[in-house]
Amino acid sequence: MATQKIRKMTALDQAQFAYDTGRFYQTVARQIGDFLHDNIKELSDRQLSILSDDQTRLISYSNTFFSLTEDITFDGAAPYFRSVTNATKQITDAIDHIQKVSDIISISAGVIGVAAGILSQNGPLIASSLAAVLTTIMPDK
Amino acid sequence: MSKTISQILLAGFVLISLCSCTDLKEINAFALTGQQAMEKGKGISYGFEKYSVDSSYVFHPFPDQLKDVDCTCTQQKKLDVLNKKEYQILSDYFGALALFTDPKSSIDITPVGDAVQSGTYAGITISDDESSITATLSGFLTDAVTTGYKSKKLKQIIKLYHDSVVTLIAFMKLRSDALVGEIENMQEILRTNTDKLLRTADKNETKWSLLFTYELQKKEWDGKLAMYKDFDSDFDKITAGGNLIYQNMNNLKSKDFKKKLNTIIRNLIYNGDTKN
Repeated sequence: MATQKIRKMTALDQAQFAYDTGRFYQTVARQIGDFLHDNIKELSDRQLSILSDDQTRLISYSNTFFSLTEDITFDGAAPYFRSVTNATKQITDAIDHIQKVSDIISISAGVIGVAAGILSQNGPLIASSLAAVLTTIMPDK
Repeated sequence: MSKTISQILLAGFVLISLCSCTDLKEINAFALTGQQAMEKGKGISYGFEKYSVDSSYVFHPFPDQLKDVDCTCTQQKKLDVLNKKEYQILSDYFGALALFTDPKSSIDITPVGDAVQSGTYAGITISDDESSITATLSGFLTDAVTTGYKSKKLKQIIKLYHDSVVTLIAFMKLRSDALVGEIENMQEILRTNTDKLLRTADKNETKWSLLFTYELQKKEWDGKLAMYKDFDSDFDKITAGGNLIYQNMNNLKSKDFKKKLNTIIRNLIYNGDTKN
């Protein structure tokens, strides 16, 4: 694989990436909140519990990224971060159109995995969690 | 003095400044308006400490005792103090810029003197880069107060805008935006918890109490968010104005430059008016 020279992120770049990621997690959390809000009477207790717990976790990750931490980057992080950035709009657009509770649960679990990967500086975890999310939103690809 | 009177006085002062005969009157007016905006930012009362007090209740909605939701908030208080210090440094910078462009400007500057210390306060990071910028600006401002506001230093202070002020504003804006994000997240948790409780509440009086509490709290936070979004807009206009001055550093008498800067100044004043 060709080595790509990437400009070192400044402290401001890192803070901006952390902030943008916090916004992405907030958007997903809010979309899950909208789903809960719209379907609160139809959801089973178990579904409600899973979704609201997932939403709490997503918001917790969002707040962690809003800390604008500098410790977010690691060697070789750039391609993983790029793949996350590139997928964010696709994911949030897809959640708006998903009706099946199981798909929403599956996407939120994958997105939580991506956050865990970023914060534990685990590139393969970021990639595999993102792939799982993309498979759910684009099952034919 | 009420905010409205203060705003009218500022607008009048800026207009007088715009009508005066000095070549640098637009930059002087921009500096005065920028300083006023920073003073307003410094005066924001709902900061990290108050957010933390509120969030401790929202994120732990079912405590066994009140102690579980107590917030000593020492770190958050410190962060609010550091934030105000950065606003003060920028207020001093714009005050100095006003004095460099018109030494008769009625501004009294007392530089904070030292840097904002880097570190993580209540989960929010102030980087070494940001701390270093505040040290540079504080040093320059202390020197300016000591040696006087000589016009030959004007280019130096404009260059300082490009090298330091823009980046400091970017850091402050990100932190302000991050607090907005955290307040919005708190609102989201409140919404979900209220919806979950409404689902299981069987008495109308309980439902009404939940609904009323939710609406009351939501309105209060909506007001705080609107205030922060206004300041966000100030940051953008000040950044644009400062960049315009920097780009025209060797062409400060150009009509086109003056026209563009006057538009930014008017928008800043208008935004200040709408906040009152």
